[in-house]
Amino acid sequence: MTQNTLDARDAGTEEPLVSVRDLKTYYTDDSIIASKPPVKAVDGVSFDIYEGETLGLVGESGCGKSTLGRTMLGLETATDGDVLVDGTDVADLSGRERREWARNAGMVFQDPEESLNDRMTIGEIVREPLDAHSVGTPDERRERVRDLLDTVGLQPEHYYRYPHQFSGGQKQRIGIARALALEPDFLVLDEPTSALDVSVQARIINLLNDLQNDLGLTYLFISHDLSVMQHIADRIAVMYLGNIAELGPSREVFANPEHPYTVSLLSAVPGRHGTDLDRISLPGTPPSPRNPPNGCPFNTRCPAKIRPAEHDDLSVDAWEAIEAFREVLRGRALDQDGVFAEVKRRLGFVDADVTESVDELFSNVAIDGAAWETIEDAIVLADSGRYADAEALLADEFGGVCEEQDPTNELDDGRVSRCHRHRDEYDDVATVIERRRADD
Amino acid sequence: MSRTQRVTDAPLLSVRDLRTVFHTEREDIHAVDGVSFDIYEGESVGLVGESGSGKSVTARSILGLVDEPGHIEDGEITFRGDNLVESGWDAHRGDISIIFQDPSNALNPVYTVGNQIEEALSIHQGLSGSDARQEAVNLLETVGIPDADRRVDEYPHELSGGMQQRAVIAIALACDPDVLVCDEPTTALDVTIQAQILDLLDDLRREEGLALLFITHDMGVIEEATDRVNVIYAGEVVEHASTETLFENPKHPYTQALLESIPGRTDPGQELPTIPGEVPTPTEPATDCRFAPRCPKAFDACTQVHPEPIDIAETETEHEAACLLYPEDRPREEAVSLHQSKTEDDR
Repeated sequence: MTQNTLDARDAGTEEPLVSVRDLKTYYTDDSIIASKPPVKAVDGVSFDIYEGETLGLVGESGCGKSTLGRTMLGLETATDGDVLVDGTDVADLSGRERREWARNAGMVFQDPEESLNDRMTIGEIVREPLDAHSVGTPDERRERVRDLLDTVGLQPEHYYRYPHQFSGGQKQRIGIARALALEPDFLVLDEPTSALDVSVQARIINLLNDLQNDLGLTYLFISHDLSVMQHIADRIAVMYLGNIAELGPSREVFANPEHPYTVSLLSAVPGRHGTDLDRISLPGTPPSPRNPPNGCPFNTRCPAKIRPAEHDDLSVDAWEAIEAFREVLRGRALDQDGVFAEVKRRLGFVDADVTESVDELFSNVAIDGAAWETIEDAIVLADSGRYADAEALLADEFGGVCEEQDPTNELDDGRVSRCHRHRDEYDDVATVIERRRADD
Repeated sequence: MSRTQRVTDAPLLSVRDLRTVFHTEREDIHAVDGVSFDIYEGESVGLVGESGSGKSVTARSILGLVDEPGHIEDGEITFRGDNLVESGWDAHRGDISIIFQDPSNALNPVYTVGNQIEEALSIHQGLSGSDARQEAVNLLETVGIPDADRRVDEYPHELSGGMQQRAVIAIALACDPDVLVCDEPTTALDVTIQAQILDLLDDLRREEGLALLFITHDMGVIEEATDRVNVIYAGEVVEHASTETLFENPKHPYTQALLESIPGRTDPGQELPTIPGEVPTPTEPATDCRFAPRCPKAFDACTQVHPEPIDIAETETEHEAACLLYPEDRPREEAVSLHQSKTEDDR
């Protein structure tokens, strides 16, 4: 991603402070009853963070954004890939070097209620990292804590108070003071204002901006809140299902989103200060990171999915019905694997007939020819409980390139968007979304 | 809904001077301190405020769900002509339904989604057996749960957060309500799922004529989902207007400050405007302006005179603000004495 140097210059430097390369964090749970595929929380992401900038990491719950932040700090073990700082991979450091990185990188958590020990005074909480790393004499540490409290806008007398005596905004200030104790260069801020009221949130955001300017800090700012992101991030990375869908300078991504997921996400922000985009209502929910779809991770919900040319004649309604049917089949196929489903089966629970759902879906849409024959074959398979086979049949007929190939980045000039639509042979995202909306 | 229609119709639900007080050992907390607003059939009304503003207690008061040590001390909650505070809620159980922020807390984990909808159907609509089951499936389809035939037999943990909230809405609809109180209905949900739920609630409003009361801290949700809005601060409604008017032309200093502090309205790189101090806990009935200590426009009288709602509508849409700055066209002393005499009239 050498192109990023352009934006890095805006942020004041050209050297990445941290480089993440093809990072993967998988969680395995080998239970005695059944072995499941691993949860692919982070599934191969690469990006750079430049000194003094704020990289915003945005995405919905379960997309892996918190895991990514925690993996970068060594709080989770990377399954594969590198987190490079000065050419050293800090993801699998140990001993002294690991402690060195831990000093240089701090973390602020979402919920100040839960991240502060209620039985310790504020002074003890903020001093804990100093004690753990044996910084200076005890007197110097106490002095340092008083300075830190002042830095984040708290009073010296707060030293001897307990967390429950503070409001949510003040508690978050304490969390920030603790993260700053060891004078780090790099902070991961994981939803630091999500639990706060807007008027309190504004003060914490201002504090974080001031600290960045005064102390030269570099931030990875994780949030699901796009308006916060728009305000604080220099560049923004949009995550979906363990992958980075889009990355670029914040201003440009908000003004001109490229990836269909980013377009949908921005359009869904309620209220007019989101964007001028017409609302796109995404169907369904994100797939489980345990069983991500083949090809593009967003293909099961994408409003601009590339459809096979031989089915060009199918209407928007027909495609919606087909995708919805496939979602039903995927849901049923997945549930068949579970221990819970097995227990239900043994207790004599019978799966509800699929026919009624099918009738409901296809009752008002016209599909004929080869397309309808395939759907009928799939219905027959589904009726006998072979949901996975039925779905495979439909994938074969209606899948297309988005399900067959992993998308790669097709953009340059410091922007990244992994979508097949950006290739010359396909119509672009905005055109397709507009056309499908008009046909609907 | 047009204004003329409103004048002729009586409101479906009318809250007048509601006061809900929590008596604790140490002090009395006047969580809701004289709140008034109306909801008409098929419209969507917002009640917006920060934590501690009393918005959720207002919601619970309307449903008759205030727990000890809280009591409705005064005021009227009139539904279809019956004052529920006097007559009790029994005759109208189910007519006003509520959905909460966290759907996983609202669902019983040991019963299937179908069981829980059927229970509500049996209590409120007298349905049982296969009729109830068929209606439960229909309701799940109404709220947009795919493969409803199968989902009806599933347990709450088998559904995603968005699907759980849909199931909670289905249970609420099983009571056949006229008013649905939505207490932070999308706060726990992701933005694309939030969009789906807001669409669903709007469909229900337009197609079934369901009146909606949105209780939220999220100005974006208010802007997107409501026709009229009440801004609540420390137990009092400080401003009331059509949603469009409130966002275009906020008049109360608190509303103005609240809207300005939302990121995205200020240029990136600039300081966000903030409100100093904290929301106070009202331990006495209000005798002055509760926002005065934090208000950039406060003057001497603000700490002595209680501001009353003043009609400040510039067009034909309604607009009221409880602030001594208004009416703006009067000299300040005259305006202040107008508030004073209004307060005395109320006593």
